[in-house]
Amino acid sequence: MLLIRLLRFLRGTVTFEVKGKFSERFLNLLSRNGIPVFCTCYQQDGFTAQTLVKRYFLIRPFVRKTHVKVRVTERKGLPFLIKKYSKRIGLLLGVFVFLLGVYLSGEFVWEIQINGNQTISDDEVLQSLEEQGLTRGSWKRSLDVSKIAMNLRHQYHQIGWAAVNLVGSIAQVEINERIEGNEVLEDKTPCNIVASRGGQIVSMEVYDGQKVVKKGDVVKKGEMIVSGIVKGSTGKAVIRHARAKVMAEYPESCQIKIPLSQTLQVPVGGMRNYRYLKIGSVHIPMFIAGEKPEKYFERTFKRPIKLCGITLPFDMIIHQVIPAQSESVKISKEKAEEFAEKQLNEYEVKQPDRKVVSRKIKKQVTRDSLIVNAEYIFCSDIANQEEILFNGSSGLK
Amino acid sequence: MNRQRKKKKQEEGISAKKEAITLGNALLRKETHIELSGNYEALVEGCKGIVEYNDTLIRVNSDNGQLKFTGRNLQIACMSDDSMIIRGYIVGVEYCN
Repeated sequence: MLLIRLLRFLRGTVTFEVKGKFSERFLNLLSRNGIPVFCTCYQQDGFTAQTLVKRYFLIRPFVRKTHVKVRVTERKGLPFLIKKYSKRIGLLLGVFVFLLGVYLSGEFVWEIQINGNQTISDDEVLQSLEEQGLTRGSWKRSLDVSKIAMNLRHQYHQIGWAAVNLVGSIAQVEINERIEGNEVLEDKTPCNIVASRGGQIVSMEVYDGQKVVKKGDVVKKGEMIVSGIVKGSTGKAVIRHARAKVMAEYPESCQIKIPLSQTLQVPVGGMRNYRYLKIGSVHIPMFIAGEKPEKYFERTFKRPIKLCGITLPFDMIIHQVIPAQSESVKISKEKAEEFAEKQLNEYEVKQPDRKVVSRKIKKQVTRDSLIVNAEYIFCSDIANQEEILFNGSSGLK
Repeated sequence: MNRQRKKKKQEEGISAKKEAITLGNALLRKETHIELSGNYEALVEGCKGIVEYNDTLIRVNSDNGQLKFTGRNLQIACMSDDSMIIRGYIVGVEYCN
């Protein structure tokens, strides 16, 4: 019954009133001539009935023949609705845009799910995917998922197997990390140990190879410390992969200049947010263009857009502009020394493998700055492996 | 005894054939076929037009004469060339020749 009602709605029905002496005959004529009549209802001096819109125009001859009076009382169905709203272009356009929006929304990636990663973080994988064009809001048909998965495997050694599945609007990234064994490959490439920089040797631990210098000697950069060619007990030369730990002391100087009066950029009030709607690779500005201040700080961050708890495939990019102004600031000598000390500490820890043996500091105050000269003696491992080449080819055969 | 049994069997066979023929006639639309669903709906096949129609009485033409449906709030739900569905509170169905 529901199907019949639906079909009648789609085709459109007309309810008409029949009045006259021969209304039964009129009904008979309609049914005999293939005009469907339904929902007839008796009334005083006649009855009401329904028929399809297209067939209604065929009843005229039978009206004349039976001398009945027919009057339309109601029109129902889709053809009438279309006719009614056909002049409202905006409404039709809205319906069309809505349907188009629903269709197109399924063509974009709304969410990226990463499963199975343990050592690699989600952010790293997401960044890698973004470089390959897979982001929230990217068009599904433009993605080559097998290529993306292959590139992921190439990019990260830890990934043994990866796959990107597009399930509806969700991109599921399945990662299977390889189990790293404790396999240690022994390097047998013949090499010497040379000094990576000049200095005085304070200690030597030779694991393999022949010593060339001894403790207390001063070496230059590139000078051989341990040779990879070792004389055996039989007097024959044996080529080895030299390994050693050579600790040497070397001087280094550092000069730091701290100006006593500085011009700094200080933020002032009146921060402005410039919002952009990011759809795929397109940034749509959501503001009316205005003048930017001469001096300002700026920062940009991305925020996903949520609607009723559902994350949409678009992002809001917020570009913050904080106006700034220049201010000259005077620093006391003590404060300048404090800054200099901080910078010296940073300089010392720049290379974590070296140790400070001694430090001599000389301070000099000029008219507008504090100059700090620091003389250091550092101690670090200067052993550097250098491959022994045979006739232009490397390695021992 | 055997003759009596044979006669009985023959009679049963004839009646079965008759039943099949009458049902066949109904199926082939040679005769009027009425199907009642309770007392609220009647499907009439093989009818030949309406003679009288109001909310208490519907008379339709058929090969075997006029068929009269009596009741209350009677309606013709739908009708085609040779069939119709009558809905309402049906009280009686009778042939009037």
